[in-house]
Amino acid sequence: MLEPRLAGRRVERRGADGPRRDERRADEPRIVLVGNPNVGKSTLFNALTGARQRVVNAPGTTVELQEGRWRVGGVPCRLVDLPGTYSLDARSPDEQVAAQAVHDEGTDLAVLLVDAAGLARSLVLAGQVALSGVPVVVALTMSDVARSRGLTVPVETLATRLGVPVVALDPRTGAGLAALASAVEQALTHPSTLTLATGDRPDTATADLTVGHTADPAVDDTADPTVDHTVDPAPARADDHDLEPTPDHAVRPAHAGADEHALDPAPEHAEDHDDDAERVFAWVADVLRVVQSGTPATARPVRTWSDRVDRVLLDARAGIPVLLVVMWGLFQLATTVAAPLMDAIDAVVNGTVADALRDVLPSSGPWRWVEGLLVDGALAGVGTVLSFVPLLALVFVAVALLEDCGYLARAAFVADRAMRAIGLDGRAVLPLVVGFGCNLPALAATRTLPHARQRLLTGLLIPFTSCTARLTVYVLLASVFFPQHAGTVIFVMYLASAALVVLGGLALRRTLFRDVRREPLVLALPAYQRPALRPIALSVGVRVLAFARKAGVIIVGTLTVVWLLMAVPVTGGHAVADVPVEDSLYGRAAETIAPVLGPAGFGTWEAAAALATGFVAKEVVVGSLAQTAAVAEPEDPADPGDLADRLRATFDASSGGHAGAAAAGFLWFVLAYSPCLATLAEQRRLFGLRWTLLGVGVGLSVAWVGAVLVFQTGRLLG
Amino acid sequence: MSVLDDVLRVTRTGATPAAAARTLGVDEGLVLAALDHWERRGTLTRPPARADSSCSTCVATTPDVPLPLACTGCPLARR
Ligand SMILES: Nc1nc2c(ncn2[C@@H]2O[C@H](COP(=O)(O)OP(=O)(O)OP(=O)(O)O)[C@@H](O)[C@H]2O)c(=O)[nH]1
Ligand SMILES: [Mg+2]
Repeated sequence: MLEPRLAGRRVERRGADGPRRDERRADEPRIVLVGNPNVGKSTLFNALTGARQRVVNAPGTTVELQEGRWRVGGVPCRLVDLPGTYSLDARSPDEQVAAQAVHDEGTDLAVLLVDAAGLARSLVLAGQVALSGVPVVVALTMSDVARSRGLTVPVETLATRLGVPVVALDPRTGAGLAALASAVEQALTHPSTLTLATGDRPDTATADLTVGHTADPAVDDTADPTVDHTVDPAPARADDHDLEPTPDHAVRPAHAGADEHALDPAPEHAEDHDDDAERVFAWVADVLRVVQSGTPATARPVRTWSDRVDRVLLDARAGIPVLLVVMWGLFQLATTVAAPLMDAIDAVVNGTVADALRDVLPSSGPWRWVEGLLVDGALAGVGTVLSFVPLLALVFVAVALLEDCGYLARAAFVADRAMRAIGLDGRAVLPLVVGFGCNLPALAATRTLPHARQRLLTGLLIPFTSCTARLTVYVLLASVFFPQHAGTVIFVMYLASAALVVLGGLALRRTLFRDVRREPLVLALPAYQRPALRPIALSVGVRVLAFARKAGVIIVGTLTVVWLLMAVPVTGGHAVADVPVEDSLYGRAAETIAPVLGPAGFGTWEAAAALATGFVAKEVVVGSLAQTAAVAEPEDPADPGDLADRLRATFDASSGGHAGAAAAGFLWFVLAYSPCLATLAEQRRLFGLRWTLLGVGVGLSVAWVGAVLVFQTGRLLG
Repeated sequence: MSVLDDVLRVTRTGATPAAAARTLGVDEGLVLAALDHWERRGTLTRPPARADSSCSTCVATTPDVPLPLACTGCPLARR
């Protein structure tokens, strides 16, 4: 019996399979359908089993499998339709189930579905199945698709190369099913396993037809016991594995959890694996050479337009400038197109709606205060934030278009190369790119990095990536203080953000993170494709709605708290809710901080308060600026004036006439000082309090020093 | 040099699968399989090829998609 000899290897799986095993009759062979996704397994399964099927869970998983009865030459067999997979080196539970079933000693035969139109990927899986030593019958599907592309797969030649029976069939029509049944019947009594032999005489391979299933003598692998699959019938599986006691390629996929895999992409036994993989790929290349020898060669390198475009976009010198021009154009376009829309929304909310509210609310006694809260507090803040919706929508659309057509991947590629050139790990690029959307998911994306120290290093840099919330501040201040160059200013902010990431990374690598090794990571570029407009429109719609709704909640919440703090008098002997802001708790507190910001040119309580609310979320900065501006001159309620004028006046006063320089310093401060509360909480969860506090401290210092430098330089230059 | 190494080498220079297949004179499917292999090994990564609304901003979670782990605790993402 095979069982005792296999026990060591398969014990875990057997245990899991125990209950099911009792259900079937001991003599009922188990046949599994294996193949790439969408090769026709389920169609074939239905054609073979008809109504005799049921759904079962794969042992120990929630993965559902179809199981049915199939009579092969009068013998009832148990047929299992496995999930499609490209590899037995499983990454997902589905793939794991497929891999497990192939390696399962209870599996008597695998019907391996090979896609004639996707031969290479099917054969790679076949090569891995060969390593498992399970007896195989190949079912060749999709021949019609292959034919329509001018490809024919010579069944005989393929059978010879593989060393197992190959049956061409179409599971949809039932053509070839009888042939499959008889091949399977034969294989159950005289099993044959796949041959991993590579012939060094591929051009003469057709002559091998006469050799039959035990195939190719030209094997240079006497040292490797697993290659004996090539000639041996099925029982050899046991012998092979006796000879192969150490880390077993066949077992690992079944035992390594998917998560474990994700966290540890460089498993210990990678080298064993790569030996096997190299053999499989060499074999596939060889088989392809033989079976595709009839098809016209396309090996002659032709330059497609995609290659030409890539030559420019990925060029070592032109790549970065092109990326910068694309980004600049994006912000230029977004700000230009969005400006009138933003003004319109602002006019409606802060004009029409505010006036209507004022008219509705009685203007006596405590109502004055309620009116203040609603109109000047919540509405002013929320209206300003809402007015950013068109801009964000445009930016989302533009980025989604770039991502969808394949440019963003190229941008990451170029950035990755630049990072590596200056000694940073290219692996961090993708999380950092995510950070430009929002820092929070970017922190989660660091989980793909293999080492804790790399994750920490990247996680500390992520707050320097300028998220879309900060964009609202840039747009507001840029359009107020630099109306002619708003797009350029925003672009410069993103450049500054990239520079902060790079310089911060370099500084950390040289100091606290000298131990972090660089590891090569290859970014694989997708082909260019036409953007799918409908999904983009949908996703942008969803994002914008979510921004308006959820950011709205936070902003209203924060601004209400701010308003309440404004109602608490601390100096001047005012009554509650009837306080000039300067005498309120809020104004006092902000005023205490304000002098610290003096050297940067924005040492006002308004700026300090806005930055303080920015700790909660960066969207609130804009809301807070609008709110404080709305209450700054209560003596002139008839003309609430324009947020822009008030901002200009405030910055002008605090900077001694250098409002532009002060605004630039403020922008820098907002870019660098601290991520939002949610990001801090996540940082703390991932890296602990000490690193989080260190990050905040460094961020504040960089923000302050940079803002002072920017302001003082700007002032000197006039 | 094996097929696997060749594919990795050419991809590193910025070749798309189709371009790599042409350069190396092999089937594009084989290139894709090799990329898949290196991705499973952790040597290679593929930037997302399609815009994905779930990840670029934390306010982007659609109602029918479960909240990404990354967004738990984010006040902007709370539903
Ligand atoms: N043209 C053509 N289509 C086929 C052939 N075999 C199956 N199909 C079709 O291919 C599609 C996918 O078939 P399925 O049977 O669902 O594939 P599968 O292997 O079970 O796919 P997964 O379970 O996702 O791995 C269906 O629409 C089938 O009708 C074939 O030989 N030629
Ligand atoms: Mg299926």
